[in-house]
Amino acid sequence: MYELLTLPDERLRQKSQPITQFDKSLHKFVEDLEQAMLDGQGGVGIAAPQLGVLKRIVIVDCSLGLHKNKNHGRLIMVNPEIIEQDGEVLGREGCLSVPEWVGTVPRARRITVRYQGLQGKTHELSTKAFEARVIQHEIDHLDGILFIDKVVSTKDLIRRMDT
Amino acid sequence: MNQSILLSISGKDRAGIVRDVSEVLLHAHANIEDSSMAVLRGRFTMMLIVELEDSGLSSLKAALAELEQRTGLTVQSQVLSEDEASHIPDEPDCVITVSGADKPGIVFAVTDVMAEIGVSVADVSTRARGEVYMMALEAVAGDKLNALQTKLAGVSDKLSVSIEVHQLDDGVM
Repeated sequence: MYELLTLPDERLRQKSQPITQFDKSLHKFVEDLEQAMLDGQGGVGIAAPQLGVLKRIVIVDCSLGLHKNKNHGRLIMVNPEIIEQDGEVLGREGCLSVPEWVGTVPRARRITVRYQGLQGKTHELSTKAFEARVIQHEIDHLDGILFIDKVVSTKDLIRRMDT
Repeated sequence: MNQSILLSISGKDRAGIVRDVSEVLLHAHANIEDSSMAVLRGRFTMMLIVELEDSGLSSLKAALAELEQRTGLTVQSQVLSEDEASHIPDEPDCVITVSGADKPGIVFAVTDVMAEIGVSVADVSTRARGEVYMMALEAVAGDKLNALQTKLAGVSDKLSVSIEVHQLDDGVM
């Protein structure tokens, strides 16, 4: 079984590798990944490196969010990549791998993400607001980036207003 | 038993203030827990909550007095009650940004309507540069967000400053 990694585990800081084999073991891993997301209190997304598996796959399900939000339900994204983005919004983020810590993080308001499904088929999805935030957060995990790297304070906000 | 103590320290900004303070705390066996520090113009200020054993309190106070003498920093300390020390404030759920021509009363007008409807400020920074005034607040609005937006729109009109309320969606990812 996999264990959910938490800071300061170094594997959370590593870059994940693209998936090239769309086989049975991938399907099995996705089941485990989803279970880990559901086991986490209030989890709406998870990325493979959070289980110590350095592969480019994330699951997002904003229908599990505490607040009502527009979303596409459960999304399994293999080799996801943001190909377009615009706007900026602030949100409050927490992470299963960074327990008991939340912070204000600016993210693009709208994104278009290109990814592959479990059979390797390529999809494109445009989304905004909360779901776009969660997808950006999860894709960051694939590059070893955590939300705490992007937290802004009121002082930072003023600096940004000034420019 | 351990005690929590709030320290407020300020002095003319220079390299080494945090080092000087943390050195004294280390020798006094006081553990730095939560802290917030800022440079405002030429002044460095910090607030720290430190924890130490009851028996260490008098030697900490002596060490802080010595620090004041030696460095010219101003140090105030308050022992927190157990309730205060264990209180975790509510997380903010909205950010308010204000900008416009500097004039007296902007901070008051904004926080007055917040207080009126019981919206608590979690964090605030302001900056005056020449003619321009900027303020950013994190607040706990809860179900009063709509009322807050309406009230702040009134303030914006009255003072001719731009006010934006950003609702923070949140989630565990």
